[in-house]
Amino acid sequence: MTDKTEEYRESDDFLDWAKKQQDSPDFYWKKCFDALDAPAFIMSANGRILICNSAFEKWMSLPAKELTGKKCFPLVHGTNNFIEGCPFVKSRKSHKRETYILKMSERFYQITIDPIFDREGRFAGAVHIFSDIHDMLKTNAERAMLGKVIENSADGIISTDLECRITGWNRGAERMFGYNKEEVMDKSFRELLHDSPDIDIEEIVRELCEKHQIERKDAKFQTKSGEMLNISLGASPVFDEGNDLSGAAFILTDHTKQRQAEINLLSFMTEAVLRLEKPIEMIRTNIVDILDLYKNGDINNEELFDLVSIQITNTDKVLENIIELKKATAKDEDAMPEIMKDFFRQ
Amino acid sequence: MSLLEKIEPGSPTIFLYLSDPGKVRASNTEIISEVENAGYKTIVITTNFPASVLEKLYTQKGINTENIVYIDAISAYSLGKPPEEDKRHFNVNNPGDLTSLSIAITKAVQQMDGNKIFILFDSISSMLIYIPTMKTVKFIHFLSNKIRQINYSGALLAIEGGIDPMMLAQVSSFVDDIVTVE
Repeated sequence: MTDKTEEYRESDDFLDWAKKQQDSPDFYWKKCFDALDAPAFIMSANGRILICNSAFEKWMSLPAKELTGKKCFPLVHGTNNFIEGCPFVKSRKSHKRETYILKMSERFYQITIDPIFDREGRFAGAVHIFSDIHDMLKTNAERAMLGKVIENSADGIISTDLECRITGWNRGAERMFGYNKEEVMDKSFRELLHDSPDIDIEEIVRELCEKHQIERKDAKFQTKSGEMLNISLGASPVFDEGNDLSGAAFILTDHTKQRQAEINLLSFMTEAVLRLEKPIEMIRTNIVDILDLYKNGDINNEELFDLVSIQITNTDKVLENIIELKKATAKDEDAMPEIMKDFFRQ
Repeated sequence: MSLLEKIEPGSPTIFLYLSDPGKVRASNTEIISEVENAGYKTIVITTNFPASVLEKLYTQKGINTENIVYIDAISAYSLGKPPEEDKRHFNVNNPGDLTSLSIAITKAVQQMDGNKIFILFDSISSMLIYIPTMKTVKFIHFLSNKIRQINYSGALLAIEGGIDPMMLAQVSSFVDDIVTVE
């Protein structure tokens, strides 16, 4: 005989007590039992339902008299025996609390079995409680999904406690800074960034404590390898389950390439002005000067020809410079859209 | 205060002349006139007007050009025919060829004697047409070092606003005084 079908010796005084509660329940005991929101029943050592609460009656859409005396598995699972992994069977053996997750009608329930022992300490039965954990599981799943999103975000996401000790460090932060989680957990975020001159993490946390929000900041952060990154830093407060401020979450977006593109663009603009606007201004002034010299008879036809030729050469060179500048701007420019790269390469 | 009044005897002094676009050639002539009148021998490095034209214009202004040595870095490149060289006229085939320009400066310096010698560079702005900013800065650094090494004085011409602020800061650190010509 397997443990699932084994008949256990029933405890007479426990069965007597159960019978008494069915026929004439103690008023306040019944009130307490029925006050439970979760469906619950008390089982005998052989898995018979001895007493159930009103939540179980409602859940089964049957009155207590049609539920008591019957074994639980045909009612709950529609089976002829205890199901595989039945926590009641386990508890009967382990004499400890056993739990089981059950899916019924697209909802998840946690079955909790707490053993009851008779005066001699023998297993007399159990309290069987269904807890609807569907919403909790759904919330947990959503949190787990959010955790995965945070963990795998390309941005660095770092959490700290109010003393700026690191409590969370995602893969984005690992990639960004070159430190893995084990190297930084519980360390001071400020110490980690001691060579990052633009940022005062403690000041940010203080501001978060006071205002619960800060504006994004641009700052340079140094990585483990010594590289300086241009980071856009956002921070938000973290509240614990009691809604008390417990720390801060930092979102760090690496704008190094974008900043480099902006610097390159500025360089391009500067070089374009220097190598286009000013030279053209100079060529124009030279031509005016040359014409004056010619009108005044200071230079002859041959000299006029030479001077104008020089200005043509200058103009050709300026055009050449602009083409070179365009090509240089498009080269290795990750942040530039393809269509703009094509334009600059022409 | 005239240019020469700012030069302390025995102490090489380098000026950066920032002129309006229409005043660069006039600044060139005025400086040459002043230093020539004061008995200086001069080396004119031009990347703007050909040496032959400058010499003619100096002569027309009554400047004695016998004590002027020219390094012409524009004629050969732009006109395709290098002017004849002699002990007062040196050519550089390309204004962007800084090695040849440096050799020509060294050669020209070797031609000079006496201790009142002045070097005029015309101009940073026209050189920027031929080489990028950083190379131009390096050349100006080389030239200003050369002027100080041989205890000369000199002037560097540029169009005002024709040098970017970072380059101007660097070039300013190589010179002793900045003269703005409006």
